[in-house]
Amino acid sequence: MAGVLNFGYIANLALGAYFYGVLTLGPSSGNGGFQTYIIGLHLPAALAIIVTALVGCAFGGLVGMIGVKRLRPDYQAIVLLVVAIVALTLVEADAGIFNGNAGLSLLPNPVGGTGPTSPNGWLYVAIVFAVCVVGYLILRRFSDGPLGRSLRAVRDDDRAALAIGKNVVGLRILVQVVGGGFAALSGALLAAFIGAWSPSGWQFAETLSLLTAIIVGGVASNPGVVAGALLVPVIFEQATQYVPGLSSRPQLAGDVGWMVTAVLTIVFIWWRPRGILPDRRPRYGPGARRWSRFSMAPLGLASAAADMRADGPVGDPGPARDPAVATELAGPALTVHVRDAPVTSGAAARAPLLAASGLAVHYGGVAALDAVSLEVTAGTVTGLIGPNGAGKSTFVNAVSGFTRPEAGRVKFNGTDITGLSPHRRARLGLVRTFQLSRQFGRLTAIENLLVARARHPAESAAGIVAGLPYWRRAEEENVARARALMATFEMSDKADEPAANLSGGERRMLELMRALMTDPMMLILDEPLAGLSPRWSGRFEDAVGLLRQQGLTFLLIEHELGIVERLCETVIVMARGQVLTTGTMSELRTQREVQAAYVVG
Amino acid sequence: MSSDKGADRPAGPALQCDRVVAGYGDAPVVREVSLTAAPGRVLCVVGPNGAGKSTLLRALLGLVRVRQGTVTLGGKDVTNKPLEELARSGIGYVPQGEDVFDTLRVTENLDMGGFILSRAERQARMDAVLDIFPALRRLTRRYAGTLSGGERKMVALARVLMSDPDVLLLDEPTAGLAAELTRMVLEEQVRLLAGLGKAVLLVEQKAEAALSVADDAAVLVNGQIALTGTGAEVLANEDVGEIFLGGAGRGKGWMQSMWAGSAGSAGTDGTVHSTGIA
Amino acid sequence: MSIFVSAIGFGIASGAVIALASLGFTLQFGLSNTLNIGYGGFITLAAFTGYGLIQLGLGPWPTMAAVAVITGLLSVLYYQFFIRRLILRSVGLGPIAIATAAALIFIDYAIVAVAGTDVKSYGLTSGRTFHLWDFVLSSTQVAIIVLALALMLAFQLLLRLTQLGRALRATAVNKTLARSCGIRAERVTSLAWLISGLLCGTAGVALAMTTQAFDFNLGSTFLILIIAAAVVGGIGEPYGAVAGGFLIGITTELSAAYWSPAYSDVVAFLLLIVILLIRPTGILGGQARRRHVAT
Repeated sequence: MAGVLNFGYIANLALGAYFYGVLTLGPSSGNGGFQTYIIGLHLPAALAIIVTALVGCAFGGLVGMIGVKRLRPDYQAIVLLVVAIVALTLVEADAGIFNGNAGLSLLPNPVGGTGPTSPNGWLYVAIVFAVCVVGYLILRRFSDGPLGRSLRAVRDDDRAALAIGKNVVGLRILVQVVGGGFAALSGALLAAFIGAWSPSGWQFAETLSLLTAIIVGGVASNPGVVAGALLVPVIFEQATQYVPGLSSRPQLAGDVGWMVTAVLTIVFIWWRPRGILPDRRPRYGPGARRWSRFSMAPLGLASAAADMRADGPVGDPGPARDPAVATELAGPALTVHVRDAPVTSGAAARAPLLAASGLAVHYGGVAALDAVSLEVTAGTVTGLIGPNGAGKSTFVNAVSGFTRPEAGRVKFNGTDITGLSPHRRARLGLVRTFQLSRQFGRLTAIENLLVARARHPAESAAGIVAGLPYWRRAEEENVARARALMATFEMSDKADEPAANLSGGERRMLELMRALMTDPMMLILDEPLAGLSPRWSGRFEDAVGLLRQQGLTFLLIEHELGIVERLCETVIVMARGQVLTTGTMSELRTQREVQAAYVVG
Repeated sequence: MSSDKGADRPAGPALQCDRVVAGYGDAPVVREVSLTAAPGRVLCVVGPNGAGKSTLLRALLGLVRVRQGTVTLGGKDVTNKPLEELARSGIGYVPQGEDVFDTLRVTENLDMGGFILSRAERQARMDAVLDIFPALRRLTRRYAGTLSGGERKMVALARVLMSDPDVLLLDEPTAGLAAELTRMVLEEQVRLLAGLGKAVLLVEQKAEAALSVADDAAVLVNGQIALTGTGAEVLANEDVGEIFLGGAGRGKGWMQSMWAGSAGSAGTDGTVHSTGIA
Repeated sequence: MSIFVSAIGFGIASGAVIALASLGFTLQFGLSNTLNIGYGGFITLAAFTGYGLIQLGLGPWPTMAAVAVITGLLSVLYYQFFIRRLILRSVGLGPIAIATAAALIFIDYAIVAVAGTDVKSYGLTSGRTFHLWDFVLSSTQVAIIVLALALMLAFQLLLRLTQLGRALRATAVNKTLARSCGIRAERVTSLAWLISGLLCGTAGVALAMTTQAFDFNLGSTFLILIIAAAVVGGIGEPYGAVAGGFLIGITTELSAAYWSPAYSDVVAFLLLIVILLIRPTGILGGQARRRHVAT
């Protein structure tokens, strides 16, 4: 039963755990079916159970809406807990429908009879088992594949997920809806099995035993949770066998069982926080059996990428590129799907792609941005330099939507995006990287790329319903493209490595690749070279140069001015929250003012 | 009491680090750095962003593990000692950014600075410190979190002076301050600390202003000392501006040393960037 | 009118206990950044230890003092050997919270194993009742209100006026900076757990005295109110915990008086949710004020 309770990945461990743990307290969930009993609608039990699950979905969604949208993450867990307790208390207090504290009894069983001793008991167990199997399969729709990958990405780093265009709030609410539904379903099944239900049946301890099952089995791992769910009650039973003097104090067995459960939880958190069957990530790298249709060799990339483009999978393929661009060095792997790519020659191309006007941000009385206005021309690499504390990172945050400016407007590609959330900006093609590179640590390197694919069909409603056949092709293209990118950056050997294990340089490259996977129109790179070795920064530089030739626009924040000089046509200097001057690097270098800003600060 | 303390040690101990290697992850950020902060002098460490200045400071303070080399205070080995014990042996520290207790009043901040003193000593010391920073007298009841940038910095410096430390480590004390305030903090406050006989180790991004108040200076590039000298010498070195801007001339040589850093050898005359993809 | 006033009176009585307990809870959060769900277990433990001592013939007030000291010491051990180690293992805040929930269950069922599930009572005679204007309170309630107020005042004085108290506040707001002043932050944190244990022990016995009858669920039920009070006030804020405690206490009693006792907790939680939606950091939560962001 508890296997069904797990919907896999907990976007936020505390939040998720509390939430569905508490939801299984049951009354709010389990009673959708029993209301009918009391009111006398006398719905067939199977129907009642389905209704219950839907009610659970709605409840989960509602709570998700209130709790997840509005509140700081560390308060979300508390609020979810509180909401569940309010529901429990309401049920306890309401004698009319839920029969209050006394609970409900003589609940009908879908196979007739009531209670565990009824003759059809075993049949019911079989039905429950079947429901579990079906539920498990449904859950895999959410927890495996591209959708599960996105949810895990949100769990690992919500800001990075926003930056690649994931609707973090939406995904979290989805988790609540699904989790609520399954929790309600299992509550209903359990109540129907026992044949009676009272609010006192599910308390802290019962919630904990669910958590224990999850922790022991392996957080975010479906098989792990099933294993945990099977093991924990067994341990519970075993522990109680060795308690002496049971005959005189039969009560003692249960108590010791609970104590053992508690100790077990602590032991696992202490020594093996990922459980006995940890979340295993699928392999996509060289040597992986799945998705092996596409060659990994850089030479083979051309055909794979060509296939990909011929199919026109993502967005508009954009106007034909200058064939000279696709140098033999880079190969088509570095081809980006620049949407509505501006023509790189002619007057039209000189229009600003990004225009910020009068942006102002204050931190505690200090002006981090003091009415900053600047423009980035389409198809160029624009440098943004300035001493520490000049406001460069604040500017990036304000433009990408991570900081709300107090004044000013941001226009991107002709659209006013001032009020848009970060993920919407990313979907419009304005994608940023972070100064301290962020990655989805528990996903593999290549999954970090795969997850960035914009509008993956597997994340649509149709994709969830139709399953693998619906999105297999898109995923194959996705995998091919990610492999090609990794091969181009000579990181194929790291493809199946968890991102958390990568070195600093590899993480930087991963972040750039991930940004490229979103089909951006413009990339904002916030100090991409910080901490990179010369080898990596050389590759990085070449990559930026090639991508620019293909029409991608860059705003490059960088301290390493040699690279700024080589890459950027235009360089903007910021100091003390203001734009100091603009020009080419060689012009700026001679300006005393700029030197002064740098050295004097 | 504090004046006795000064009399006992007219010279005061120096803080020395000898071939210190330190860093967070697999690659050390600070490599083989040797420096001496002498009593009564301001030693200024400058360098571009990411050169490892803050990491060096945190390594000296036991906040980042020193993997090789030694840190000594007046000849005594204090390598990797916990911060609170260093504080008790006379090292004062003003971090960058969160340098005051925001939810404590100004006087309470000073009380914390003098935590290791007795009550009577603390009272006397507070008067002495408020004499050094008379502007703080009218702010004593304010919560430090409500102060302006310059006032905060004064509170931070006054706080660290409370314990009358022999050695002061200042991590970019002018970060986020406007030009006039920067000059005030460096020329008046930092010089004043050295004038009190303390060894001051100043880490600064604003090289020019910092070097002009420094007795000794070191330029840190890519975790290593690239140049040392007196403050005036380093300041007079025409290349410093270009080093920071990564320009031509001698600065280019420095650039190369930055590049070559992790490879361990001198760069191959700036061709690093042309390493091909694929 | 008199219903209103007497409800306020009861609210102050229960609010005083909630405030006391949530002060200890919020202190743990402030110093160790840990949501210690095991706190509920300590409340239960305090109530049952008190029960044991009263059975042994100790008077109620000496019992309270003894339990406070015992709980304080246990709380320090709990921090040193459990919470601190978990923090050092950097397992993350969520898993630590779950581990403390496991600790709660462990303590609760250990108590059941020793004392059984049946309802206990200190069996104190309610003594004479005080009538002040329309307030009607038992002498125990009055004594508890006075005691709680005195303890909270003492705690505030400690925080404000003593060097140790300032060190506590300093460590809570910036541990590294505190250490750079020579404050032994680890000891100060242990001290905070000692104080929170004292408050917890006192609150546990006071709760058992005022609720008349209780079982092993006492702490886990009460914990919800404690967390609500701490969060309403702004978690980590001592004044906030006190204000939140009284607010929750009075709201609960008012809704019990005017609506139905069964719904009283619901009203308290609705209040919590409303306050959080309006002010996500709680009434006195000043995260924004104290954060000085460097660009």
